[in-house]
Amino acid sequence: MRCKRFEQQMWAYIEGQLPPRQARALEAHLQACPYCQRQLEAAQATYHALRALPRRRAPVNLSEQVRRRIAEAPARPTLDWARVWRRVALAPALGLLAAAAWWGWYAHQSAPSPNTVAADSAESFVELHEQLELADWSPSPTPSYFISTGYTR
Amino acid sequence: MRAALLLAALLWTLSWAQERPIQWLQRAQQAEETLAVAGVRVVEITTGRTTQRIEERFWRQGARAERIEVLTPPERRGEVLLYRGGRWLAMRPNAKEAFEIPRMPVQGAQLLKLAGELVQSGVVLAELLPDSTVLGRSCVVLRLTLARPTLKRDELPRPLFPAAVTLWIDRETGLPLKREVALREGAPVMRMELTRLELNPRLSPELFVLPPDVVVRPLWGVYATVEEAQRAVSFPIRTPSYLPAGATLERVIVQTRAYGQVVVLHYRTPNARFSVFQAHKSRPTDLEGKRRRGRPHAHFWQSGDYWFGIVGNLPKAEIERIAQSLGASDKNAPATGR
Repeated sequence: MRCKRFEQQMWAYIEGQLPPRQARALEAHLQACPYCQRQLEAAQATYHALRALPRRRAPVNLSEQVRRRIAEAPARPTLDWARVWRRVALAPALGLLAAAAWWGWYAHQSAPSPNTVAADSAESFVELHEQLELADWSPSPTPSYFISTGYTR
Repeated sequence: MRAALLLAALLWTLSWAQERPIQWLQRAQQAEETLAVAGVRVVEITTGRTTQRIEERFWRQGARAERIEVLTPPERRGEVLLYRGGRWLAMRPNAKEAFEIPRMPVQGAQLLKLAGELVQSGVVLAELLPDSTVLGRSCVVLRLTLARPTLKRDELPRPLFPAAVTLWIDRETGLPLKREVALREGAPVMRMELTRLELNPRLSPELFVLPPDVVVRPLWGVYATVEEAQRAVSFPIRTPSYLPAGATLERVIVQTRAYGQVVVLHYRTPNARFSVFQAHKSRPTDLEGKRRRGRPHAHFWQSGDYWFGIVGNLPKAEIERIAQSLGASDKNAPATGR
């Protein structure tokens, strides 16, 4: 629940629009939450990518052009039945797509994040002990090193 | 005629000996200790609800030297682990400092050696499964299981070996190309598989040495002794005054969580491992540990300003004795997970 609240504040935080008190709370949360750290990194990457896009200035007479085109358009467009039918047929597909997107989002929101939800529970300590035990049987030392130092930095 | 029969018998005996599991274990151990190899491997560790996946490139000169470069998880991509002269060093990409990792675990060849000893003593049973292929190479599949795998309540602990280990051993070189380890029956599991293999690669000596301007420092967060860890911890670390026979401290881990620092004392006995967790003046939100099939015993309680937890495959009575030596009483030690 806390992660969700902080996620909503991330864009304002990146743009420097978040009030200082909320920004401090977010930063404190980020210290302990690898899931939100990753979300912030992803949001920052998107923000920088958008900022890097070339900027184009709108033509000075853009609004005049738009008004003129509206005026030139036919008053009552003729009804294109084929086009209407295509749109009607498309509606269920779009509905399914929207449902799938919602389900994916919901599943993501409700899935336990190993580093956040379980972070404070006895279960996470049982898992930590088991990871230490298992890592000793790994032919690579990396699991043991990561368990001790955290899989995410 | 007699000579032909003798020759056939000899050949049959030799082929039978080659197919014996112990022979393959010894061959695998020898291959790990002597061959020069490079490649990519994936290691997955599954415990409870979480699976941690690591993908890494490696270059190995037998048991003498190894270099590992992390590919995933992305947050740690590019980190390098180096083994030479009996010590492991870790280095972040382009960093000017490296960290010495204390007390690294038993590695591939030692595991195979231990398995061989346990097979010969009858503690571990070995069987050959039908052959399989990994990376297009023909492999002997060897399954090792504990003769007495279950950990019943308050019985003497089983030997310190996973409940089941499956090895895919390359017929040509003897190298294990894939392995699967189940700590206890059903869970949890470690899987390792090579996804690329290069035999006898040209290994430049520079691969196994740090760049000249890199300084080696102790690793923060992992310590060999309580005294070393204490310097990084804001409260006095408590140690149990009772330990099971033969228990030695393997390493001390210090983690920073949302509510403060947690110290993990990880011990090993000849038959078991256990971890003692502690935090001070703040505590995790959930102290209830629910025992599930195949999971270790867990015991959590609060004593004054301290919160403690003990997790391990020790008999419950032993865990309670350790807890009592840390100040747990019957009144404040209710959360033994069963």
